[in-house]
Amino acid sequence: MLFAALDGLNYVLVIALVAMGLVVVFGLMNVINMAHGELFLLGAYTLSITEMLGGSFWLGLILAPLLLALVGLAIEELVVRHVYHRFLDTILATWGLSIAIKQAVVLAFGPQSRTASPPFDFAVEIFGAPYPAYRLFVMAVSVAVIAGTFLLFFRTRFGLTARAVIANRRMASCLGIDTRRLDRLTFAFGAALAGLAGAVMAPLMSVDPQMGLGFLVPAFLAILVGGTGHLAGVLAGSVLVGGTDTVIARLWSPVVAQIVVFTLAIVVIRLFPRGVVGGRERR
Amino acid sequence: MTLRPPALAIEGLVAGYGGSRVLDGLDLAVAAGEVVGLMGRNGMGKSTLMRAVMGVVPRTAGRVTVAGRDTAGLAPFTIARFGVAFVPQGRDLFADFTVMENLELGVLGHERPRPGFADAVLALFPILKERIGQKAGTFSGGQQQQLAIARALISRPRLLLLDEPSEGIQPSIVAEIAGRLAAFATETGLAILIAEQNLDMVMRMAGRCAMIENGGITADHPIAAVRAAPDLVTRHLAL
Repeated sequence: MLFAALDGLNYVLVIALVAMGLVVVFGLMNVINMAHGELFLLGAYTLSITEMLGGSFWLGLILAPLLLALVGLAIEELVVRHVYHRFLDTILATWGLSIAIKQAVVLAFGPQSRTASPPFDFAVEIFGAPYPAYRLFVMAVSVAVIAGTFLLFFRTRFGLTARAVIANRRMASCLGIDTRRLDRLTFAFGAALAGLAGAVMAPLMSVDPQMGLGFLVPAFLAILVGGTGHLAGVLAGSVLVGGTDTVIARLWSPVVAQIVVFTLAIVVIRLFPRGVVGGRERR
Repeated sequence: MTLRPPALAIEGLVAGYGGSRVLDGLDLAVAAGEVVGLMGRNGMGKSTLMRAVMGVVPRTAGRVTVAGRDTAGLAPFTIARFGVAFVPQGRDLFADFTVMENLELGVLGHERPRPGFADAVLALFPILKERIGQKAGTFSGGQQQQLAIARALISRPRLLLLDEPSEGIQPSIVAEIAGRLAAFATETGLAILIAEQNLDMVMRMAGRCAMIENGGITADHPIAAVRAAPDLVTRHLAL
């Protein structure tokens, strides 16, 4: 039971990591990035291919977010920048992009699944039973990156300007804040988060062209449930979605878990349209 | 002195929303250190003029220069960096942020101002210093206006655009703000363009009063003339 809880926590944290990247981009740019799952996928492939070419896990783990930040910059400049003011078009454009990335991966590396090896595969004793150390490492990385994101947005000048642009883009620009630069940096940052999540999860799952969707959907649900108004909403939503999924899947079956999670999401959205944390209306 | 380009020069400006011509060939200049009142009834284009100068409303024709530099096609943040600060109607403060954070946002997009300048701005509005950690949204209208002006001034602009600063503020506070701002402008050479319907505020601060009607400047009076015959202005404001 303890291990089930740990596995659940692991899942919750990775969903939070993926959702964080989504919500940062959505909050600042009002863009729903449907290709976020494919950025996760590219992060996993970066690690797997780095290892295949003889590089270490650690090199892959560092390369993935850096490479994805560049991919994010390119996507922002080539695609997203041109459709900012047309909300629906951003969904279509990034959805198209997700299909294109997925097929490009199939063309380049084939449809079969690949593997990635963890840097260590020993187990540590927790209350007398062995638990994979790498899973603990994934949790530690997730916690560190989530905490780092909070610090970045609530304790730095970059964060202050980003929050100002979220609150009132036009006024922020009138104050001399370079909103274009902020858009680029934010999109790159969101992509880097997805890339890192993909890389750190790669050794725990099958690395294949479909792997992104499995995290994109719960991440979206977590944001819907938690609300887009605050970063803390992402955490609450991830706990609710990821936690429910793990517990029900354990008690009954993964299929029942999916049904329960979607039903829960619908109920929460009906009762708290602005998310469980977004709650009160702002004047 | 005469060789210095004006803080703001507008020639033949045409601007509006979605193809409409709210401003229709407007000309206006504000010299460095000058305070100009812009008066006119609602809907005559005062706010649109402010926003068009700031680059928020698209311009379809004409030229707007700031200290001699053309601002055509530039984003608001670039125009701001030329030394234009804007206090919009309704103030647009960051309500969930503290006074300190609002003020910081006034400088973050600019090169670091001369040390001590922020203190000079805060000295104008002592209430802000007292409540530096308080959220802007909890302030009264008058306090919010002081914060919005301080946030604009703290970037050390050469031109301040004030849109309806007296709106929703009690007259005694309006007089106080106007007095301090006028003194600050004289001291620092700041140019101010102030859109108002409140003649009292304009008479306290401005050296000139320009009348805007149907998207153009229809009259431009020295303030002494307005003091002698307020009717010059008020007859244009009456419905």
